[in-house]
Amino acid sequence: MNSEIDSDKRLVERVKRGDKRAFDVLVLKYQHRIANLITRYVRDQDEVLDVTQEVFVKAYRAMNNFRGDAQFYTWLYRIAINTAKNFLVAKSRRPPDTDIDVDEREFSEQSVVISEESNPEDQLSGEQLKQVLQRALEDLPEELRVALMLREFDGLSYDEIAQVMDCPVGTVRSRIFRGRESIEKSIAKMESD
Amino acid sequence: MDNKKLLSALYDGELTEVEEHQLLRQADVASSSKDWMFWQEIRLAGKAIEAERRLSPKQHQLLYERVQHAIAGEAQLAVEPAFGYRHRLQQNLVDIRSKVASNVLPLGAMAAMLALAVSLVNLNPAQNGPVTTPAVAQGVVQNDTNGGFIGSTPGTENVTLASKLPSGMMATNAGTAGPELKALDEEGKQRLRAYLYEHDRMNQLPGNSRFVKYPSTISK
Repeated sequence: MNSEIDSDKRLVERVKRGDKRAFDVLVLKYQHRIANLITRYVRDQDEVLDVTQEVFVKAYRAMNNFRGDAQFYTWLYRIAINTAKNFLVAKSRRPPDTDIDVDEREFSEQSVVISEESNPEDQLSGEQLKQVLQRALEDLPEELRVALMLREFDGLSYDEIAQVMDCPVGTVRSRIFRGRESIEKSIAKMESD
Repeated sequence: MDNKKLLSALYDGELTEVEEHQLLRQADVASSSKDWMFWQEIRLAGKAIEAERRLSPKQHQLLYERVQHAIAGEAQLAVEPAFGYRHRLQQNLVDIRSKVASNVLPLGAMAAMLALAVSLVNLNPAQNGPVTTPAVAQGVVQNDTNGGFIGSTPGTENVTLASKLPSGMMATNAGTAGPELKALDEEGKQRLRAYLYEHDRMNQLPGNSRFVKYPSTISK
């Protein structure tokens, strides 16, 4: 991990000196993670490409402002989250839980049927849990959702999440815990409905 | 509630050793297993959701090419000309000279007072009054600002500004036949790296613009 951080530092220095090829390497390293992060905000895959591209262009333009206090990828994550949120605001689109496409709804209904047939004794299983979890995540307050997703999906440490969200580590711990509690309550409520 | 919060942090591997002790003393591990299993299910379901939304390899290739193309159209970040490193070095030397010119009087006075104090401590009758070392006489004084100005080290004689490079670089001693190679410190490594990067960059330029122009032709 330390060698990766050092490698990023060296690449950033090269970019600051005008070496665009070094930035291409940074794009290769992080585009998968950033695109995955963007998919949590944006469903349409063409828009995911657009927003992810914008993230890297913004990062390039702001590279001289990157002081190296934080790690490069936590700085990049912060840009990605802000860019995604700005994109949604610009498109005046509400969070995904209220924007379910017809195709998605059919798929989810089909999924529910399949899972009920496969294991009727489980209260929630397989596809059901995925759908329920998706809705529960989208219902979370944003700071809880972001903290929880950075931990669960990106595997960031609490320190790294604190850097991305610009908050103390104790706050990260609290947000993740509250996010889990909230999801548990949401799922329990959906099970009972 | 506190124990469950600690358990949540333990699940993420984020507890301190003290907190681990606290949790193991206070918590009923058996009853905590239900929470642990639930969080594990959530994690797995979350990864499945992520997997469904991922871009395909083809889309990632397209994304990479688009970003490359977009960055190629952006202005170059570094403002310095192609001979940037030499220009920076030249600027450093100009800065050093101007700093010395403005600082030599008060710093000289300070050095004189310091030398007087040393002579009083050593009770050396030969050093009455202000004493200047060859380095001080030439205006080379210690300064640890970020300008990279490095002062003379004890025992160094006849060191001139022109020969005094930022620390870690090869230094010439006017009294010796050739350059003394020094092990590079961190700053030296950085400067060498900068020089190599500049060299790499110039190699990418078209043939007729690769040559380094001498300092007399550098314009600001």
